[in-house]
Amino acid sequence: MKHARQNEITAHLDGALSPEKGKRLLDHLAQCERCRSLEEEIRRERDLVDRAFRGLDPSNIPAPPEISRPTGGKVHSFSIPKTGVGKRYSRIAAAALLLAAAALSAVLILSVAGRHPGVSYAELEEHALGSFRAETPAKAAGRPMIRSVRAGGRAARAYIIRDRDTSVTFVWIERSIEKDGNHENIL
Amino acid sequence: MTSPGQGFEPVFRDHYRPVFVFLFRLSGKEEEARDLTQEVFLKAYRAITGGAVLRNPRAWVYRIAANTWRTHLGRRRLWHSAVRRNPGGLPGWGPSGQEPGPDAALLSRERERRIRSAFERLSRGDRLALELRTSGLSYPEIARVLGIRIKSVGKMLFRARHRLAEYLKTEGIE
Repeated sequence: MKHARQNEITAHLDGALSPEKGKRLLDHLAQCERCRSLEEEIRRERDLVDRAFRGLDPSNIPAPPEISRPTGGKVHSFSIPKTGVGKRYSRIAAAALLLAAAALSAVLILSVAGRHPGVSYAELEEHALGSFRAETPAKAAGRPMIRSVRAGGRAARAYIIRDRDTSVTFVWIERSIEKDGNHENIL
Repeated sequence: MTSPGQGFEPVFRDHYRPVFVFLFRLSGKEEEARDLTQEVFLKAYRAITGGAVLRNPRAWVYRIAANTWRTHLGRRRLWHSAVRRNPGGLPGWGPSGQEPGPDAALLSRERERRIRSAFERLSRGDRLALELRTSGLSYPEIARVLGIRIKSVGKMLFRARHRLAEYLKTEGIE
């Protein structure tokens, strides 16, 4: 048999060789010192890389946001009625809506964060959603948008995507709580 | 009859955490990884409700994640060039301001910085291949995500590990 190739040995160590190819390789390794030392070198590199990867693992893996039931959970779908604004005026309307939404969001975030450390999640979510409702008609369809509202160690992040064809807007609310300086998602 | 979003739930439930870890390793920033993870699943939701047929949901989701990461890198490059143009720093984007921790924490951060520095030297393709393998994807799944032949996966992984091992050694990580 010819000497083993590096990619073959790699696939063997990764358990990705077929049983026949694996057996052939093992038979060859048993009688070829050169290929055994190559295997040893590839194994050492693989172990080093695996150890390095473990050094990059996150200390906190957030739980997935709750998505189970649109009614009782935190995923909402709603249709946004057409604004009825003609094409001619749509850009002006869009700009006005954007400005209004930006101002509204800033006021809401500042007021919530500054004055109500015990604010409830329901309130936070409502603020995040409120800015979306104002903004959505002006935004390009299909682009995800993200808004965060935080207060008193609590945070609600709202994500939105608007379906171009159905005009249905999908809003996804994620709650998190501050713990030891990090934000952990909660259900 | 099933609702359009019904196919989304198992994909979301099974892959949310692994995709977050995958993107965290690539990004190194928790907030960024969270946002990218959400972006991935919003795209997935839209595709599934749009009628996408999933033969291999894991490979499919990771493909979205890999593409999201690539797009993000493009955006980040713009950001980096903006930072280079403003060596004094951009308004509101100073250093993290963290207090130095105990020696052990400093050492650990230094080690992580060196590992990241070694990873940064890999090509985008090599890095993605390694990340996908570490995330537990099989060779056929990696091939599908990266759009390459299954035969090429072993070659790519060998090359990526070999280079990364060299870079790690130059960073003093053995």
